[in-house]
Amino acid sequence: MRRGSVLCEIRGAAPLRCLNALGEAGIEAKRAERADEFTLRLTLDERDYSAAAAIAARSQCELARISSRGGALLARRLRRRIALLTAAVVCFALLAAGSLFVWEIDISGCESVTEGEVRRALASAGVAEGSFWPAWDADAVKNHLLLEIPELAWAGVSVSGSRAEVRVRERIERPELASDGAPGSITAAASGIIERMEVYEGAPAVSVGDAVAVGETLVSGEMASAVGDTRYVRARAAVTARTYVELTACAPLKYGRLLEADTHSRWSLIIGSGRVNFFRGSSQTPPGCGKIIEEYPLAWEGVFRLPVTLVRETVIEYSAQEAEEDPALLEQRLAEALQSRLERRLEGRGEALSVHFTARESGGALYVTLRAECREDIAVYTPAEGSE
Amino acid sequence: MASVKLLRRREEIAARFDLPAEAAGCFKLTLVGTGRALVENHRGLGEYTRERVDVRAPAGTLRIEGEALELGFMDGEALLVTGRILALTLL
Repeated sequence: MRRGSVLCEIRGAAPLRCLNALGEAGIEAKRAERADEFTLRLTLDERDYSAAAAIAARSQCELARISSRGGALLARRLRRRIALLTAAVVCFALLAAGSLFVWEIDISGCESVTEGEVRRALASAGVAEGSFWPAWDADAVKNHLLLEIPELAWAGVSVSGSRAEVRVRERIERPELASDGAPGSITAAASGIIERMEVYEGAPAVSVGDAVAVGETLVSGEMASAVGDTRYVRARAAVTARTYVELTACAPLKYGRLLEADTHSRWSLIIGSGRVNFFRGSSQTPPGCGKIIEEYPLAWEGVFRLPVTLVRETVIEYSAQEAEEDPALLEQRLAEALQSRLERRLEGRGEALSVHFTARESGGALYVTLRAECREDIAVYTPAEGSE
Repeated sequence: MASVKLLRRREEIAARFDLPAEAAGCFKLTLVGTGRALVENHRGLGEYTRERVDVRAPAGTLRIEGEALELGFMDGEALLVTGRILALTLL
């Protein structure tokens, strides 16, 4: 705590003599300034004040206190304010006790397993909001989690103040390895006219210039032999074909738009697992309304958290209104969506040679059709029946 | 207080034995820019106004002249004068 300091004045016929005497006595004077010919204003340490007053008296001067500040003064003032001091001690004790209980559990690392599942498993292991964390056995909690949720490969629990952090890692399923030797054929992923064929293994069933339908066998895994039995192999080939794609998207020209009609806030207080509402009626959201929940926990981020949270719910009432889309803008949006669908389909497999869009209105909706001529790899491996 | 003659004698001895002058009781002045002057081994103040500070030293008086001069701190060993220092004179 900072030492107390006193701003005071030396008044007398020769204040400099007094200042020199203070220096000789080893008393440090700070920020000394002349107020007038007979007055010198300076700052002294609180502990030196009485000695300085005695020296001033010996120098036929008077030392007058103007103001005091610092830790010593604060302590002296607090001594007189028992209630404030008691409240501070009680708050400190509550904080210290509160930090031994967990009031917030953060779960990270969930992908396919939900946070709710992890939370339930933790609760059954005794890890829940309001539990006394020094009684936890971290290894037992981890083991319990892994046994309860088989999808988890690893779990870690750490506590910081009144916040528990649970990190989980999910098991990565071993990918199914395709057997290199499993016999199968190459079939067409899309209908089109074959432009180029590169057969690495298997017997070609079609040739360049042929029109093929989706699912048709392009390269067979069945290898007939003139001298022996028929062999079954895994067919391999790259087959480029000219394909024709038609994609359609539609959207209504009239739609219902929600307009904010009324907004009101309501407050509630969550203490531990209990909730006190400062409003009448149900806390459920009325039909046709939206709700924004803002929580203000009694916490110092990263330091402590008490089990008290003030909650503000903003209920927004909406009214529906019919609106009309601009057909030109809607057509543009649908065309962009179709274009991106086509790009996703061809990604890494081919390219679009030409793209055309047509639009028509029917039954209050706008239909946009994309017709594209593409060049793409249509070869797809299909295992032979009974080979898996 | 040692006489001026005795002080000069001490200075000579300190110089001969390669000792720091302040160890022989000489005053030491450290000027930092034109804003701060630290005087060690002083003997008190002779005069103190916002334009002039007379520091008594073993070998005489050091006059610090300037504008808005202020005594930053002072104890038995050293004192610090702050402000805009324009001139230093040894009287």
